[in-house]
Amino acid sequence: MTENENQDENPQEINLNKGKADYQSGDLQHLSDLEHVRERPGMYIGDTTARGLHHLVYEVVDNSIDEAMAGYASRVKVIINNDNSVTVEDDGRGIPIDRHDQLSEEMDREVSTLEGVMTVLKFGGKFEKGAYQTSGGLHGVGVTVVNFLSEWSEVEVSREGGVYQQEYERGVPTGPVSRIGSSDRVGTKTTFKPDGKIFQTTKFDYGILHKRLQELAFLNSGVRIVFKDERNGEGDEFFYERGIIEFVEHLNRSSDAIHKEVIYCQGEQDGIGYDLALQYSTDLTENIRTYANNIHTHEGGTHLSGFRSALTRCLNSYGKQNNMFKNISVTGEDFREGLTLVISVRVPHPQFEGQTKTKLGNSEVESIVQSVTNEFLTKYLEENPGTAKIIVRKGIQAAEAREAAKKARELVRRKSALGGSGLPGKLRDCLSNEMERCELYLVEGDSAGGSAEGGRLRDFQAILPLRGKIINAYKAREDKVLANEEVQSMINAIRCGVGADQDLSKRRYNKIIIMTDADVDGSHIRTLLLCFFYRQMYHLIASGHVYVAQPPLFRVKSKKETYYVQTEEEMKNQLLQRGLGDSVFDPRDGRLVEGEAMATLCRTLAVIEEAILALERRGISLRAHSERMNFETGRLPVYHVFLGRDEHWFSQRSEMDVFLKAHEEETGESAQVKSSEGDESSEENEGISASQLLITEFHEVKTINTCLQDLQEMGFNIEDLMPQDRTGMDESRFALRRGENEIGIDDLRGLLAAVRSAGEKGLSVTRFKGLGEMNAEELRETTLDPANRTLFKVTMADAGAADEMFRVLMGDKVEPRREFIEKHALEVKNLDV
Amino acid sequence: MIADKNLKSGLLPITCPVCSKKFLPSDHTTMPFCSDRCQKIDLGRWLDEGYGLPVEGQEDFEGPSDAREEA
Repeated sequence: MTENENQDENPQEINLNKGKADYQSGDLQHLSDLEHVRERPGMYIGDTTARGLHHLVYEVVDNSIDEAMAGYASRVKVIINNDNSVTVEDDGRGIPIDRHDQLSEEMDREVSTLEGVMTVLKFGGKFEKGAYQTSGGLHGVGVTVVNFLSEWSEVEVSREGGVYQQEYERGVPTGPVSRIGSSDRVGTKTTFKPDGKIFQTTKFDYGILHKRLQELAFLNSGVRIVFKDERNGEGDEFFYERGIIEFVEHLNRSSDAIHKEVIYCQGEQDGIGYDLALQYSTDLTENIRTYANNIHTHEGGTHLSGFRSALTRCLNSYGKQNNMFKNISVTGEDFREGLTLVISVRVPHPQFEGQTKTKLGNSEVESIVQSVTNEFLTKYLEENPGTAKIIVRKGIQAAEAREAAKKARELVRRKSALGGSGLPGKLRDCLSNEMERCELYLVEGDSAGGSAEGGRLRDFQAILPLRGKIINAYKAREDKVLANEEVQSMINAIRCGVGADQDLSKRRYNKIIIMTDADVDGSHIRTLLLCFFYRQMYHLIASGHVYVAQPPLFRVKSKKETYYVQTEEEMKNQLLQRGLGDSVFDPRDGRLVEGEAMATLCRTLAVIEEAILALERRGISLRAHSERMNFETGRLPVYHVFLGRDEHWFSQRSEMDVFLKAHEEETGESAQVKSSEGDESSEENEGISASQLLITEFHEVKTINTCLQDLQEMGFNIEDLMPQDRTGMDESRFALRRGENEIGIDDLRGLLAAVRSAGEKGLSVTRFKGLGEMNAEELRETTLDPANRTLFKVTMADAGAADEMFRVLMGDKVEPRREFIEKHALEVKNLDV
Repeated sequence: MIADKNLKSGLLPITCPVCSKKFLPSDHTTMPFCSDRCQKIDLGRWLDEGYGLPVEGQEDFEGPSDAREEA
């Protein structure tokens, strides 16, 4: 289309379309504005580096975004052209092209609104109250400045059925606004090429624009931004219906969020719009983006400070109400660790402060953001206790880390303050300083520590007595802990450092030997120590420098000698051997069992006794189980089977298989095996289908069966193992004879005990209740002297297991603890008795 | 990814005692923790006497029934 056609169609435009020379003579004032902007661009766009260059694009885009936010545009297109010019296009209303009366009068010629927008500073919709509620753009300098700082620019407006255009060179129109054709579309398209005389660089950076355009799309949900770089064909499109929620998700894309949902709130109060979204991740830093009228407020400001004080207050009060803080105070900084936050506010008259003018200064924003955040978060935390606890716990962990770092620093400081040896006062060090030879005994209890000090081989053995400290833990539970001084003493004595500061070569001893009592408390202290080493002196364990001493459990004195026995099992065995001697068993059936037969009988009884005890731990007595005996085979059932709700017992797998096969043929379906190693409580489960199969195998009964067969061959049966009602009988059921002595016995299980107690005759057996009961010589002889002692090297697996046990015992969940202790009841008991 | 690495090294992921995060022991200088920070928190707890085990007889439940005594 030609200009002539335009003139014909719309005579009004002709008035604007005067000669070029005449056009420029208009207004000196406006020309001086132009000169001012070009001479001092920094005052308008900050600087003329790449930053200022890209700012030009933002100014133009902001106008389009404003149009979109006002509901008139839905799409903004940004193109970097081949010649490094930039085109910004929207489908908004288009800048008005009609005559602007005031301006025309001032300039004494016909001037359109469009020309005013492009060439007059502080002119435009944003200054007319009501045109936009709030708008972006830096300080409203807008597109005029972009035009002034461009080598050339052109603007094309589609509205009211026509397409209008005006071109400029260094801010000066090259002609009036002209109609170049008709169109039923609407919108504004601005193209500009930054002036190389002004800018240090005129090359646009794809990455910088990409980032900002995406940011704008996040901040203005529902606006579609299409970005294209004609120089290399790159491009992208941004459209975020969920706005800053998606922004937070985007920021957290490579972090691990600790709660699933992004917390979001938005609204308006006293003319100030707010939009905020947050989510916590496992990160250690905070990731915060704040905006005022789409401007990235790098330096924060009142919106951020208002939010922060509300966040700290809400999380603190939630934690307090729910009793989550135990002797720890969590600061606002702690609560900001791992926080990803986006705040966007819309303020009618934003004030920007700070070095780079990117700090929001409006004080009214602070109180509004604070109060809305307060109200919203308080409610949110109450309604989402799961998320609330996760967040508060994260803050607690941050506080703990802060405190721990402080304590670790103090530890180092104090150590250096000790000067000289820097060794703990309680340490009884060895004389040698040949580390390879040196050993450190960590001894539980002061009295044992005393004996150990007296009995040690002073040249190369050091003693550090340790005591568990009892504290009142929460929930009225008393806990035994390693006191702070004990932990410090160990660290200082061993010297290999802890945590990240471990240096194995600095260790002062080659063997660290844990020596505790053989009771539950002793095992707890041992567990604590192993756990501490595993966690903080990992390399010490990994390189095999940690040992557990095995002090004897019994001292045996006879007329001739004194000796020590390490374990319960060994002691029992010894007593049995001695007791067998010339013992004769009289089952009162005319036989007498003696010699080798007697030894075999007792050994069999010892084996079956252990198995019966195991059965009894399941809550099943031998008497009860004997009633399930298969009288043809003489065997007790090993497999406890539930098929649906029906209970079955089988003594052999083959029998069970036959039964299951028959069931399968009968019903046409195979049984669903639920668990082959379940326990009996499982049968309480509801909703059991008729074909559901639950098999429990009683391994110990296999042993009982074998032993019963052996006993059978010796002429005894299961009845002999169980007590019998002998009311009114004069004589005991069985008897054990040794020379002239006769001891009455109720059942075969009692025989073993009787033989052992016979074995104890003439001996004085002492069970050590604790290390403290041994004197220095005894301790040296049994536990300290490398020639006689028994040491267990702690392996990584041992330490890991201790750590696992520790976690279970530590935990405040009763159930797993109960299970664990029941599972390990036998071991604990053996240590305990 | 963890699974892949696992197959190669034959190592199983372990659970950090402090934050319960699962991680592979390989190339971790802060074993058995996932990070220096968690190890520090742990040290802080030891120094704070924050780690304890229930004193005997203080268990808040009844111990296992003693079948041996009944027998």
